[in-house]
Amino acid sequence: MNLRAIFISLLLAAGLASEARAQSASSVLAQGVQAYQQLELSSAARLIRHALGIDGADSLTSADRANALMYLFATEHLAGRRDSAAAVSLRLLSMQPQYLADALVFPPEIVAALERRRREVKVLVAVPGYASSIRLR
Amino acid sequence: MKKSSATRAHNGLLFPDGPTRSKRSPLIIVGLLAVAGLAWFATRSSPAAPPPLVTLAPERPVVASVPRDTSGAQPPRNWEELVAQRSAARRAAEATAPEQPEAIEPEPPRRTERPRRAPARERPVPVPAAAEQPASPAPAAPVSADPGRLTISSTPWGQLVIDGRMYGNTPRIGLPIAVGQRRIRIARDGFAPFDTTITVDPGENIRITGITLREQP
Repeated sequence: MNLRAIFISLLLAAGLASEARAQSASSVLAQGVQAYQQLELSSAARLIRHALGIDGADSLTSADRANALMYLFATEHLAGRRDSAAAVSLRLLSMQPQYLADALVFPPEIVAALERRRREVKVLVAVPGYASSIRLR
Repeated sequence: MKKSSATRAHNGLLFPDGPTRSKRSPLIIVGLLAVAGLAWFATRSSPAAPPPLVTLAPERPVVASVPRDTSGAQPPRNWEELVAQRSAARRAAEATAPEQPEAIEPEPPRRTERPRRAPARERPVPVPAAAEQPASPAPAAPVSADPGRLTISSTPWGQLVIDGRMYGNTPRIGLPIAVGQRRIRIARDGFAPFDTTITVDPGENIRITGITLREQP
């Protein structure tokens, strides 16, 4: 009875820990977004990069990753680091070529900058065909 | 008349006795060449002046030419004198007429001076659009000697208006703002505007962040 309780508590602890780690990735992104809104650009860039760097099951979803890259692009653009902004936009457009910036959140200057980058960058998306199975003889 | 045994006459010339035809022909050729050279030299060193070395365009006034031999100088007697005279004449012509090539070649049509066009890329002047300016020019934020700096952001972004003049969209970082009391407004269609009044001291950095515009019903 005692061993069973310990085992169950260990399982619960592991589950809660993984949940906490998963929340930490999104919470780091939320902190980064908040820093962007406060125009603390260095902190925003550091937090968003940290959130993007979390791998595994705790990593950001594809949509959150795209949003994080958009915030990072805006941060680098406002900070005047054009090379870094260009690299971030390349990552964003490579991941989601049809990504559209939220015109409600981001000012027209930044939306226009992303659209310029979209025109400059050509992204080739390879989609596997239907007959892509490999048969072994 | 009996010829001597040492010489014999041939065409009026005396040749030593015994030379064959092949031995005499170089002498004849050399003699002919010498005669031809003397004749050519005599014609070249005639008292007539040498032709002018520089051709001038007839339409242009003659600036300089090779002077004819009016100084009573003796005509050249040999090649060295001729070459020396010509080189001296060329030097004199170059010294007195340095713009000679312009006289030879037709001058291209001159362009009239036009006011230079402004360069294609100029730094944009941060002046708001005239249509957006208020009717009465307010002394919005003329930059004084030691202005303050305004850093402002809002969610969502909006148009920044300081003392009735537009200054682009938020966010703005380090915008120079004149010292004194300033009316700040962030406006956007569909949202209630944000209004505040600030007092700017010289060299002061003012941060206004965390503004959230509320949607209008």
